Amino acid sequence: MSVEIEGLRVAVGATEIVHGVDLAVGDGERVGLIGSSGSGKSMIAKSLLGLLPHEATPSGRIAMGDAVVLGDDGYADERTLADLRGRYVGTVFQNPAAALNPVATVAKQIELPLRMHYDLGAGEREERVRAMLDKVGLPQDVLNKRPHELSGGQRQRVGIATALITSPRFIVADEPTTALDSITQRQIVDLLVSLVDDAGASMLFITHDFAVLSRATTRCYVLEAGRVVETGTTADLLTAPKAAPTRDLVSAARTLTLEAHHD
Amino acid sequence: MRFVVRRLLLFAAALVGVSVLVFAALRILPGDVAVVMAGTNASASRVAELRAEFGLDRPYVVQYLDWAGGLLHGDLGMSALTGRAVAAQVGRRAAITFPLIVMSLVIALAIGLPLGCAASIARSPRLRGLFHVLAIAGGAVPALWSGLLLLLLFGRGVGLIGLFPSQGFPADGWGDPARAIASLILPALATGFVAAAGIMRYTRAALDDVAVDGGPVDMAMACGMTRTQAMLHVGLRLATPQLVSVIGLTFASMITGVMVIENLFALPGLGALLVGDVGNRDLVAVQSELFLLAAFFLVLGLIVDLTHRALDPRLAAEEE
Repeated sequence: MSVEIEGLRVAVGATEIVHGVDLAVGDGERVGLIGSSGSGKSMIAKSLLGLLPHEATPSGRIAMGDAVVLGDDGYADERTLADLRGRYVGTVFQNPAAALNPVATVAKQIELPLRMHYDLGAGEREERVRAMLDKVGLPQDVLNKRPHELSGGQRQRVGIATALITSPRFIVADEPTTALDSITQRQIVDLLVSLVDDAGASMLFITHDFAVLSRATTRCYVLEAGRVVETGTTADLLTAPKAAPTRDLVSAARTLTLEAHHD
Repeated sequence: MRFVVRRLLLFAAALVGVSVLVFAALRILPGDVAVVMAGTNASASRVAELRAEFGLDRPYVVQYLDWAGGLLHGDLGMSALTGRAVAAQVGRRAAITFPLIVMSLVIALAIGLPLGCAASIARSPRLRGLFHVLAIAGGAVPALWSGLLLLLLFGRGVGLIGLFPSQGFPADGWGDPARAIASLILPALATGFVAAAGIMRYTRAALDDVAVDGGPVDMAMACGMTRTQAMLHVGLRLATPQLVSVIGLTFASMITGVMVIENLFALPGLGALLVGDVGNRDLVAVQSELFLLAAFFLVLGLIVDLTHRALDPRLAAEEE
């Protein structure tokens, strides 16, 4: 599913955080949105589906496939947005330890989008959840466990399974690996990429780390202080960054990678 | 399981501690029932005689053990003044006070919980502001004042529309439940309204707390729930342990809160009994009554802690 953002502005109270961002994700494309902390990238991710905090007001235009999410009259109604969320659009959160419902079992968590959007029997839901566990590389015995009984990597696998259980057409991954160690980061990115490609879905991958971005995306936008300062293929941006913020992010990624090699 | 055992042991220790404190506090208080009974101009020998009669001349340790031993098998002692069993007195009064507290709490929850949820879910600044004002204004009204207002509006005989009895409790107690309940409605509303404002504020705060950025409520929305659904299904469930504590505390504060209201509506409840017995220096009665109150607080705390634990699987995991 293609996604188009035009002139998106997000204000929190009287302060504007995002100043007119244009961004497009083609059907089946994996696009990155990179920027340092506070550049407004999470605001963009949240504004895609009406998950902004109540102090924030967005304006501009957001379209997903045929649906207009944000238009001249503000957001589409909550029911329309809720129908998109979890059905056509899957979201992978930054910190699964915080996002997963602490009192729900893994089974209940992963099947939630199915419950919300499809009229399936309990048996069929369980069948799908079990198949999903295999896909994300989790053992079947996690079904009745709760998030606090899992490792960080396992939790994010549950997060990915939840986002992908309904085979959505578009995935928003908001810094899905930031809370993980570097080896787990790589595994999770590779898993996400292969699942998204297998499903033929498109993805917006948000991060501050070029090293991760190069594995996850083909094209990306560089965000600085609420504005897109550079855009191009991820490979080009990595080898020949033009804007100063891009150069900083690339050199930060290189330094980290070099340090990692020295270890 | 270890937690439950530890918590029960703590509870037992607290009961013993409270009994010692109550006993000691009352010995520090000046005067005793003998002085009060003998009257202002009584001779010292008459007072000593009465003291001996009530066993107040024995060493404190013996008095304490005698009293505490009685408590162990449910004997609260005899009132020195009326000669009747304290347990019977307390029982008769509690049959008014406890239904009153429970009714107040039900009213407070029925009003406070939905309003608190609405206040947390509301998105428009104007609506949020309105709920904010409501919570603060509601909490600022003293129960005594809302009680008076209710009396003047709905009290039979004194109010604009005399809907409910305004004073006293039926002489035959709960013999006619409808009449008994009717006489508790206005006082229950008076305390319930004030507590509702508190419950509303706490409910909103608890829901705001669990609805953190990138938390389970956002996750539920990302799975396809509307904000309202996510707050009511996931948020409320996650806020429940906090709300249980709040309800426990509200219950506890009502025990003292209703005493004022009982006075206004001339209800012969526990409040009047305790105040009367303290005035008369009826030591055994006061100490048993205070002990019962304290024990009740402790039981509430115990219930809240155990419920808390049953509701949050993470707490059990942290301890392992």
